[in-house]
Amino acid sequence: MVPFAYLAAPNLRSAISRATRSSRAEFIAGGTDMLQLLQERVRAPEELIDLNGLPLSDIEITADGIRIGALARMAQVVSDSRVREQFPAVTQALLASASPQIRNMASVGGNLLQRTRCLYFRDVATPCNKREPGSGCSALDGENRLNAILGGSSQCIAAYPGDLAIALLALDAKVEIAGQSGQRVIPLDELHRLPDDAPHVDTTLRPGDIITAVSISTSDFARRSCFLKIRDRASFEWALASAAVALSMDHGKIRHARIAVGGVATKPWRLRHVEQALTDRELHADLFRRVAALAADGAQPRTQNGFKAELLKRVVERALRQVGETT
Amino acid sequence: MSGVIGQPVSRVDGRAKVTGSATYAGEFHLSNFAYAALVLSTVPRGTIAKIETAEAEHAPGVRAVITHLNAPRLAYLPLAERPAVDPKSGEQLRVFQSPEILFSGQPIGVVVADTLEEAQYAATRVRVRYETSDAKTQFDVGRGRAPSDATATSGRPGETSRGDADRALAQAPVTVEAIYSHAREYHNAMEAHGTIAEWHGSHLTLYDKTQWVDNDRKEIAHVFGIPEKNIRVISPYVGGAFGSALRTWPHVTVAAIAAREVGRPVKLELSRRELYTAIGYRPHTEQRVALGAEHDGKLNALIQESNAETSAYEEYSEETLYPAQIAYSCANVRTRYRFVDMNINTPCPMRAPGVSTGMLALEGAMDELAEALQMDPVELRLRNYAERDEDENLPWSSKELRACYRIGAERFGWGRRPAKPRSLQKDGQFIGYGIATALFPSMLSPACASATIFADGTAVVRTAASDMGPGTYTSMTQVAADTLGLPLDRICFELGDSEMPEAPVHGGSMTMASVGNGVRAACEAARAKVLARISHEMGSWWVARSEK
Repeated sequence: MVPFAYLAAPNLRSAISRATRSSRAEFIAGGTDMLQLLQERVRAPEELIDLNGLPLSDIEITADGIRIGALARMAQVVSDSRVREQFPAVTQALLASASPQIRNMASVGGNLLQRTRCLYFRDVATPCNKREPGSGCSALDGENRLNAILGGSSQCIAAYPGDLAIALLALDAKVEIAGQSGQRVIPLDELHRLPDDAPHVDTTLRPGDIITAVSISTSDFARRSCFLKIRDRASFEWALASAAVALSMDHGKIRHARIAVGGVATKPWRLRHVEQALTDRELHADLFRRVAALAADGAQPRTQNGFKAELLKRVVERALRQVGETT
Repeated sequence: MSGVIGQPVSRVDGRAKVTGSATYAGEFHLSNFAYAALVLSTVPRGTIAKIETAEAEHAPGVRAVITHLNAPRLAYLPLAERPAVDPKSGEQLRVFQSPEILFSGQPIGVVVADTLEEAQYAATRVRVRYETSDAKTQFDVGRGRAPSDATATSGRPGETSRGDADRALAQAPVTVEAIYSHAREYHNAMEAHGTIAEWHGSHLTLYDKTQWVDNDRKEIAHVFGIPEKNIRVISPYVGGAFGSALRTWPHVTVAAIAAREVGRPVKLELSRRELYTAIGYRPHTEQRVALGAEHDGKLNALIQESNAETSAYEEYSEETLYPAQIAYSCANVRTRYRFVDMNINTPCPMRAPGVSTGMLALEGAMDELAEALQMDPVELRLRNYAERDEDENLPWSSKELRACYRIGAERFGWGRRPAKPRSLQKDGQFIGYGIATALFPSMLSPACASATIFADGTAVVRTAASDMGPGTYTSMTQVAADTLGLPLDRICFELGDSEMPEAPVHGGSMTMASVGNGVRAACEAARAKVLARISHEMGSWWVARSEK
């Protein structure tokens, strides 16, 4: 670990201004990812600004849904019955994440911002454009079994690793951000960015920006949602492929569908073309199989991750069946 | 005889382990500790052209930066006879003795500092420039080569043969042939390896994670060229090993070098990442198996060939082809063992080393043969049942495999299984029934122990054995209690210290049979002494009394 200064942020404003002033400062919340990055020397900030003292951990009911403070621990959200009833995909995604110990520490905001598990990003002995811009991508022709088949560029094919963001994306969640120029709200879909030719920039956040909350509106489809995750082992493992699916139904017909997938793409990924293929269709197992077959359209697998295309189709089909059965 | 042997008693070390009071090697605390962090090579082959240590040396808290440029030249005396746990050919990695790089992750320097964090940070400030050369990092069986003489004469020959397997295969009415690839497997025990080294003048104490304290002492004595009696190795608990702690790994030497250099006790604990190259692993193998049989299933030909990776500096061989020679009755058997040299660290034993790997390929092929014959796979194995060891042409000391097949088949409902693969499903998942035979040699080795009986009715039993998890503490306490006729809680059993009576390696599944006999013999001897003393004193008392 490289030595760094530590500052417990007394309030939101000073945390933002401090981080805006120093390009070598980083935030720490639950620390479950940051500590790994520090220990493995993937990140070497000069200053760590601890956000844990900020009053951002409440889960509140709002006029149209729920607002989850960015410092709410994953375990806190898991045990919230309102979330479980209104947004089952969120609870399921959290339960499928990490381990109970980590969920006790990890914050919702930090979870959204966790860095990729690409083997090369985490191995400082190897070139990686995301870790060290311009050094090259070792995964393109290397050990890329875990990497993305969707959304990659010639610079980077690192998969977005999280589960929670996939569920939130399917439920059209919004992210509240506080920054140098005040507060703003963006759709979750606009938080993460594609690697393109700047893979070291994971998100659209600007220096000093802090996620303060995530909000989700209650809806028919949110109540009828699920999250399904396939991984190499049954617990404490990142997704090879995951899907969050939500359906709103009208007399046995699908009115709207929402499908987001994880483990396969460079950012949380919506399958809008599959959603459209479900709109206004009769609920039918055969329909699920046919539309799920479109799930990997446009995939660009590399040497070792071609299996993810087929896996993705099956995960989407199974998730659709799971939600379909509950209607 | 209290009959406590074989009883399901609680682990005598259970409370210490679950409450954290059991002290593992890296958990000993000595005053005035310094901490070590390794610098590892980042290229698989070449030489160190330049190594810059100035920045590391000036980093806060740093006491020493040791590389091949300033490390002491060590003796590395050859052992008169290599222990069973070391490869028989090649030379162990000599730490910091030359600029040569043989694998990526090779220790090329160590930083010693007042705190672990300072040592780790400074280690990142050591800058290395390499002159690289072509490395062998692909497992290519085309490069396979025969074992050297030293390996072959130690019982791991390149070829074995009985009958004429190739001719029998050519003539067999039913044949199968397949390639079986087995990926490398890493140990990753819960307790990471680590060593604490402390010098008192010319005497060295090592707290080390090891399955064999006696051999640790011997190896380090030869590395440093000092008498074995000057070294003490302490290893009371081992948090999982399965073969990873059989050998004395290079980091043990590094800890001892570092401690001598700074004149303080040094703790060197390996990180998870470092474990991949600091200790061994089960090697990658690719095996070819060809079987020839009559229509009735009788095996006529068995050919098994194994290609296994080894390092560029040692020839690590395994018993991969042992099952082929004894598992089934077959007149014509041929085996071949080849090494694929790689720029990697040397592999090491892991959980039934070689035997399980060889069995995997052989049993896979037996299933293929059953399929080709349209025969029940259990029936095929029974039809080729080896009534004696056909390789040594000796009767088995005992063999209950037939009963295993029968009882296993009954309990699994083998008779009701659908013969056609992929015909059984439950909850959207396929259910399969399968069978495989497993075997492992039963080994024994001499072992010593001491037993002391105290006047208060307690006893202390000691041996330099190890307990990596199978329950040596408990089973030896049971043997002692049974032999001495004392309750379990009156026995204090201690292990894991080279000052204790010599014990064999804690591996090969032989500790109970070997050390158990040693403990029993020691307890019998102690008991006899006590009884003799009692009868003598009772006799004197009786004589004195009758003379009155």
